[in-house]
Amino acid sequence: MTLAVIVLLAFGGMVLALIAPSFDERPAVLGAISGTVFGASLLMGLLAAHESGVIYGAVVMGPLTSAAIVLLSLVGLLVAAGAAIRKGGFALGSGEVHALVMWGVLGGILLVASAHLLMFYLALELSAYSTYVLVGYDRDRRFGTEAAAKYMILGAVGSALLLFGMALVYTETGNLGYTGIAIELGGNPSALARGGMALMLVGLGFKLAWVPFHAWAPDAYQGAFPLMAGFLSVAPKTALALGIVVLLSRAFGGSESVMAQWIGGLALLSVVLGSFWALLQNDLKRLLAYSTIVHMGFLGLALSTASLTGYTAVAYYLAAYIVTSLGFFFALEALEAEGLPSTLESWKGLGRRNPLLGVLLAVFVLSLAGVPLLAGFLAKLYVFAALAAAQAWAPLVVAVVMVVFGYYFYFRILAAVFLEAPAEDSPELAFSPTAFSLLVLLALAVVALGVWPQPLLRWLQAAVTAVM
Amino acid sequence: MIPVLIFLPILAAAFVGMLDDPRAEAAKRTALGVALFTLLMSLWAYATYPIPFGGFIGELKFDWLPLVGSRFHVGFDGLSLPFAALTPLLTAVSVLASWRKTDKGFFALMLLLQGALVGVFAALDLVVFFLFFEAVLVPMYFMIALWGYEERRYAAVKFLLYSLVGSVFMLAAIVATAYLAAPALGRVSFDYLELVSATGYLANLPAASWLFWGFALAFLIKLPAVPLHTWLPHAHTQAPTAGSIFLAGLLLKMGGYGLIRFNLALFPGELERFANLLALVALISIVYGAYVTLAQSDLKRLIANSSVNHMGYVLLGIASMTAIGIHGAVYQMVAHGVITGLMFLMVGLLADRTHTREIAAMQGVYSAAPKLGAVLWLALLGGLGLPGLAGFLGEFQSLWGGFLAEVTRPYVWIAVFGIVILAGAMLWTIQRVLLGRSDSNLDDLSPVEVAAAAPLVFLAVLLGLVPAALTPWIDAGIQPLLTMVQEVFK
Repeated sequence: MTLAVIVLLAFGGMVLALIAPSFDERPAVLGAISGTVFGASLLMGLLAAHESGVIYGAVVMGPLTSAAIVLLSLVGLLVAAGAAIRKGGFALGSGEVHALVMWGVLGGILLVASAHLLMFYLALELSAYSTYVLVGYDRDRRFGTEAAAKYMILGAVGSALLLFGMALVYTETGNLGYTGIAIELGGNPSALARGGMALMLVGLGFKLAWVPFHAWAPDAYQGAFPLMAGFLSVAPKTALALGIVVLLSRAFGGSESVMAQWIGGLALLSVVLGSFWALLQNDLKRLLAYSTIVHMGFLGLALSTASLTGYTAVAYYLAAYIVTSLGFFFALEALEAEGLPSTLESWKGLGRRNPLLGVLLAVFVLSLAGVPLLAGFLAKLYVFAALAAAQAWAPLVVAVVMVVFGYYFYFRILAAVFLEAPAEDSPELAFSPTAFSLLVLLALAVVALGVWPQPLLRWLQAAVTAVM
Repeated sequence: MIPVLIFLPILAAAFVGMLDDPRAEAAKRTALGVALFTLLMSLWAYATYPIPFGGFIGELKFDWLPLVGSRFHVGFDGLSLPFAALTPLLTAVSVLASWRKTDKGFFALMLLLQGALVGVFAALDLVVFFLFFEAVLVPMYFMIALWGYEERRYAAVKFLLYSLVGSVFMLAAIVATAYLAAPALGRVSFDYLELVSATGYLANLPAASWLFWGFALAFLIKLPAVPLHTWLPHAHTQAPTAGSIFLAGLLLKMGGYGLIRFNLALFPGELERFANLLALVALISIVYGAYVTLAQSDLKRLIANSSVNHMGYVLLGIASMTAIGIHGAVYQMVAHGVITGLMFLMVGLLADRTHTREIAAMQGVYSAAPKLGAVLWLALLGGLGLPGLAGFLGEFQSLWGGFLAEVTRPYVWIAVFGIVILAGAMLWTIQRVLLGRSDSNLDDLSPVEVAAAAPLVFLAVLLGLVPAALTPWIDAGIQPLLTMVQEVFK
């Protein structure tokens, strides 16, 4: 099944790209095809849970791969549906967008499934190149090209460092397969291997936007159209975070997890500095970029515990983040489609112009902030639990304090939406039914995950246990 | 039964929010109906509580987050029942007090508050407790920020930030407590009753005082105790009448309740260790609170500041760790909820009529509006602790308990001056606001407003004259706690 998913997504992308010119007038058809493919891959992912084995020594089949397929296909499915919010499709053609999303998802799945550093690198690049194009896809947008250029250059630096780090690890161990590396590194990696691991971590830090390698994120988010910023905020992150889980537990875990400790340091920096910077933002997409940095910091804290609880927390955090973040970005997309720019200023009084939209936004924002009974709270609670279980008291206290900062900058959004009066003569806000139904669906998912997470958690824990 | 008390108001809030009801006519009737229905249910629970046996009634638990170790576990005992019954009562009073409001959202927020507050008092699992503790903030924030007086935004944000700072430290302490207690329990558990059974183990942890302060900080901010009280005058003054009633009547009680329920029960050793400090904080709250009350020119702010004084007695009673002191603390909390709720209700109605809260701009209210004046008179006398009204018994028992304990005795000597100063403030207010001749016409209380005030007047007198209506419940609630604490000390 895993193999079938890989083939399906690769060919699906190609077919979409090939037939795209004939359907430029009817973007809905392309969206439907893309959605069908993702729906199929999601189901196949569920069926793939009982598989085991390794393909060509590079791609692992198993529960975690299956979980990655399901989560990432879900992202793909939602983005395919979200593309319908923009009624006319995308100016430069919708088929390519769907194709690139599909390849991005494929890259993400391979990243998690890889058992070999080369595979890891190739998968990462496949997913990264898709997102480079997607960020710059809207050429006419003011910041679009700049954002794409910045993102790509910094992304390339990250990739280069990652590759160099892999080379150093290879020099030391003579292996690129995870199992081989783990055996060769043993308990105490040499200085060279440590250097290689550090460089790899810098490369991964760029991709995950951990401070201090985050500089591209705010610009990329601001320049991309919101739907793609949403895709960017969830798909690569999901893939990378799960990929790091695999890396840590299969390749670099034996060495008393030096790497995990470093991740903890980067994560703490991200949580603290990201929260401070987020306080200063007035553009919602930039604010969301910093919020992503903070969220990636929380993920990193869970990763740094290198424990089953921590990894389960990572997986649950990702699931919660997917529904929450996509929901918020869909709302941005829909509002931009109505001609409302993504700034705090223009969102003033939104709650009065369209109360139901206000409530939906509140659900997503409060979940991002981590307010109880929503998915985001449990995600943070699990991270705290993992830190407590690992007796990491200092990071726990810092993380908890930073949640307060988070509350403050998320409440700024809510304050603008609910407390400010709308500008004079602003009409009632109409809203496309597509966007509306998607938002309701995602908001329900956020609440459901926050109130009854047990089935999902059990499933994710089983998936994670398999790699430990 | 308890799930109904918690979730019926929350569901009703969602229902009210979705009504197409521009004048909020259906909304306020729904809110009142739900509040009265839940009031009857909780009164029934109160009346049928088996006092001789104590323990928890209506207990309900089911696995909610087994992977974390948290269960949805709720139940009422003698400590929580008075508050659980006070919550729907004050909700009903607030709805009646806001009868002229025309926003359905306002009534939906009140129902949300009611559900979350009952959840706070019923929770027997630390995570569940935290969930409800936090859930209270959101509706309160919006109630102040959207329907408050002129500086509502500032007050709402300040309230929110203070509360959040406290609650995140509490969250850290909750998580840490559960994991540190795991060796004693054999597994990670957030269940209150299980953790209480491990109190002896918790007492020997090196981190015990950190955990104690993690909880205490949140509760001292809520209570509030000087110097963490500065959010209170703003929030209480700027909140709409209903918001002030909720704040004073119930939200502050979460602080005192939490101190007894968690700090006393889980970390008695630490409480004893820091009793001196807590008593000092209580003393400052009592004296300084009374003194600041004396200096106010804004009537609502005056009452808000008197709460700092009143809640000081609660802290003093708890710090004494004597049966009578803690009993007094709980009694004082209930009494304060009734009397201060009544004061805020009357002052709110008065301010609606005079369009000002300046004391200097009011006089002769009693002669202009006798009914309003009489109730306000009674409330202010209750606030100064007049014997025969509820507040006296609470203050007296707290002080007496403080006197019985070696550690708090010196503080009691000074604390009694707080009574005198506050009495001065209240009597002076009566003189300035109620007495004299009025030069303007004030509408007297309408039947709806009388209905809002009546139950509180009744309770203020009842609890002042018939302590047996409350004392046995409190005893049944705190006796097991104190017995357990004694065992830990042995």
